[in-house]
Amino acid sequence: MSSLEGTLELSKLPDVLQLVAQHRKTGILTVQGQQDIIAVSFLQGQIVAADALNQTVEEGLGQVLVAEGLMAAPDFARAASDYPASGQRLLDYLVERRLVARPELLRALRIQTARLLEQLLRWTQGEFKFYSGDEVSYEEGLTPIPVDELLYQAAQKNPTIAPGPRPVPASVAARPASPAAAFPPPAAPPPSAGLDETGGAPPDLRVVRREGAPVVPDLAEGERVGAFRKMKIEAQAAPSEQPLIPSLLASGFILLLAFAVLFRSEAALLPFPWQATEREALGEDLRTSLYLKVDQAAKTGYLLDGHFPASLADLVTAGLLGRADLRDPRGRPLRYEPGEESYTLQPLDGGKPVAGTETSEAVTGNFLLDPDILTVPAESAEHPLVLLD
Amino acid sequence: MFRKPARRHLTAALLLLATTAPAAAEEGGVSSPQVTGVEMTTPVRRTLKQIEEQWLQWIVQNSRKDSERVVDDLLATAKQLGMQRLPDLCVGAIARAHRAAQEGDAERAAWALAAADRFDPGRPAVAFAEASIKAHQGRYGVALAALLRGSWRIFGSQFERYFWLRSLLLWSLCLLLVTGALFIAIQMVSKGGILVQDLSSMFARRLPPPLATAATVGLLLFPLVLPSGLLWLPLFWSVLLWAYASTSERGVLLALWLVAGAAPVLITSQSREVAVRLSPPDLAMENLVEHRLYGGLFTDLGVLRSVLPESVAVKHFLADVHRSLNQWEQAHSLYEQVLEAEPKNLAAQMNIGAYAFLKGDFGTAIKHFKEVAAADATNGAALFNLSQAYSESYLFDESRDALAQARKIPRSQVDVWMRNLSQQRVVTPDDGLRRIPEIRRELMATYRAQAAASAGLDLFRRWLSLLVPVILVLLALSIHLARRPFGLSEKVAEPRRHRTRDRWRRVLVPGLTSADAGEGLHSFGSLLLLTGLLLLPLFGRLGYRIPWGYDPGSSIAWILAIPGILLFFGARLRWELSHDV
Repeated sequence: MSSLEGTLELSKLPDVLQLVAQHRKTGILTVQGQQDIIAVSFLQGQIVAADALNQTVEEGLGQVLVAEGLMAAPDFARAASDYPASGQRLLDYLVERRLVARPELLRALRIQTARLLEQLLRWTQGEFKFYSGDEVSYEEGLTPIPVDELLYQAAQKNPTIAPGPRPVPASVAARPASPAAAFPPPAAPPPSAGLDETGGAPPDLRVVRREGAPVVPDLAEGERVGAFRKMKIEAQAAPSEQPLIPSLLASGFILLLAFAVLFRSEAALLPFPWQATEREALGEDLRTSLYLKVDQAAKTGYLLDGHFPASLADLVTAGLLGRADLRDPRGRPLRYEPGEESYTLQPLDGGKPVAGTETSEAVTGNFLLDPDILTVPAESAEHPLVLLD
Repeated sequence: MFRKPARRHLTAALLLLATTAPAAAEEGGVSSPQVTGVEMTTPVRRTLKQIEEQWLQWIVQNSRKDSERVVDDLLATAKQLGMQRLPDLCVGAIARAHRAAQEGDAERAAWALAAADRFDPGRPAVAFAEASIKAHQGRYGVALAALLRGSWRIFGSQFERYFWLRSLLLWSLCLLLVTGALFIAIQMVSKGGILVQDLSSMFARRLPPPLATAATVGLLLFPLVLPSGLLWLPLFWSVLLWAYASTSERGVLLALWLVAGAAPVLITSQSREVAVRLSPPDLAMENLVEHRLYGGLFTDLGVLRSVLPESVAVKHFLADVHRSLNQWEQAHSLYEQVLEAEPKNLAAQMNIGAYAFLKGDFGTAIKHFKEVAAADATNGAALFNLSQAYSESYLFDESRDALAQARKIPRSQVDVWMRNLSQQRVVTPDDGLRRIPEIRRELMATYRAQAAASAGLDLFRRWLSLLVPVILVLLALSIHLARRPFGLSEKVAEPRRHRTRDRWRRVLVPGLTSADAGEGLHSFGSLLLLTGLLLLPLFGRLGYRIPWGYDPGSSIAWILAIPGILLFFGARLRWELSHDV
């Protein structure tokens, strides 16, 4: 059950909802349609919340509150624009300012949820997946919506969305279709009018759970549905800088990291502060290998021309070195000073030679470059003949 | 006395020893080791001089035929010293070919490359140079084939392979660590909003909102003021983000902490070995084993003797070197010293017997060969040599018996030795040349003795990084458990979103969509692939600079990286478009 997923073309949504209800599952069913994604939260098989990615809570709730005559449209518009400054959620703001009573608000929320679900039930194309879990978030005090009740009311309005052959539960069938028990017809404009067609940035809907709140198994025992403790769906109208801060921090960090990799590779590999000696050793190994490469190239130049090349760039032109070899592993340029039979090499840091990194190489001892070592020792030569008068 | 080997840090330290070492070189008397550090007899010097002159002859050749003739002569001369390859001349010929190609002389470039391949067969640099020259001529297909051939040759060349693999290890660790850091950065982008919100809420209990936000940013950035701040920053973030991560993301974080802790240990142990492998003594040994005669060989051998003056393994090794150069007097002296230190060293004793044989002292030779054969009944070479010594002493019956005994010993190569009698009258074992691993260990010990003033502290410091993952796990768990009283939030994995607005963000920032969905492995895998492609051209820079002899550049890396990156983003865009609503 935890991996329930498929497409609406193959599985009808009412059947899926009934399956979840039948197994009294807790979790979130996400349905991705052509224009929106809707997440339906189930608590032990009953619907406790529904959210659409492209429709905000404010929009849907405002429409219901106005349509139900619980608030005047200008009042709601003013409240919707003022509440972010209070740092509160819209729901808490409305109740605290006594703009609407909490029971009324919960009823409106329930109606809004049901409308969203009715909208969902009209979808014929899309993919769904059920994420099973131990707990879901929803508004405290909201009366859960039984799936059978939802389907019954939806079928009353649109017979094509009825599930497969299944008897209507007596509790539902016996209930009169009064406005209080049934879901009122969708008020114009429909919820889809809230879709963000322009590609704007609707508030980031996030399902969050308060730490320390009891989880579902605790609630199942001895508590009625209406006495749920504090859990909520937050329409996270987060302050604008909060998503920005981590992105900025991460971007800055990535830039620093790139710099470290390019110019301090040994520091990237041996990063701990107590590894200075090892870092130094690794840096020296890397530098030594570079010096060895330069030495081979310079001596090849000597082998061909009888003198060391005037600059390292000549060795790059000759294909003996790469361009990267003109700098040490830390990216510092190398100072190369050729002599008649030797040369010195040293990295420069800010134009100044780096202490302790100088190397000097000579042709001495190399039998291909230093003919002196091949001279037959003088002691082996015969003494000159001296004629005495 | 020696050429300045400052380029090799090990040598710099080791030369201190050299100045105090007994001047064994002065014992020779035949020739002076002032310049090279190893005695060279006049015939050896003449042979080397001949090589130098023949090289000058090759330089002035203008046809393939003449070039091949001089190359034949050069290789034949080198063979007189027991050498088969001339790596310096190989690189010289490569440079000559490159120069000719630049001057538009394709024919000369071709035969110069052919000569290079004969001077040091199978060397990757020759193929790299061919690739460059062919590319210069516009023959890109041939160039690519040569480039691939050169890359393949790396695995056949011991020296290049060793450093290429060590560089690969450094690059791989760097790749893992960088990907890990990027993974944490992506986690921060994905889940940092809640983290910042929670931290701000926590600070807001005592501070006004703007200060709370500033305090949050300050807290998140404070590791940067620590030493090695760039390391602590992602580790600190990963500990904070642990609570918001899914199970798979926590698994990835745990693995990253382990890699971060273990990588330094791995690199440090490798670094010590590499330092030795880059030292002149090791270069000399490596080349000698592969019969490579390079210009500084004798100087580097002198450094070896100076560094480990008392080492019996080095004496044995150098004795074999002198013997292979036909410098029997120097070899004999060293074999005697080896036998004195290791009385059961049969290889040294056999070569002392061989020395006596070549000197015409057959009685002494018979004595040594007999002792070796008695000590090791399976030593066919000793019996063969004994038969030869008997034969030279006109003791033909004894010679026949010894030869018959040698033939009875399985795996003895009597027939081969008989065939080579014209070149080598007695068999001389090369056990000294096989003591390189032992010498390397001694060099490592010398290195350690100098590098670590305090062995205990050094050991503790080296392994300390392994404690880091343990501490991080404990910290993450502690923070996770301590969160409850503060009422921090927990993000539940969200289903993947598909909105046009985010499309380019999803395409261009790999791992972000997976991070939003809590798919840690998928997120890390996406980042690893892209980071690998981006770091590919840096392979040569991040690792050791290998003295190829001809720089291959990073052509192959770019050839792989650019199409790879395009394919990577192309595939992501295609996937996003096909799954977009």
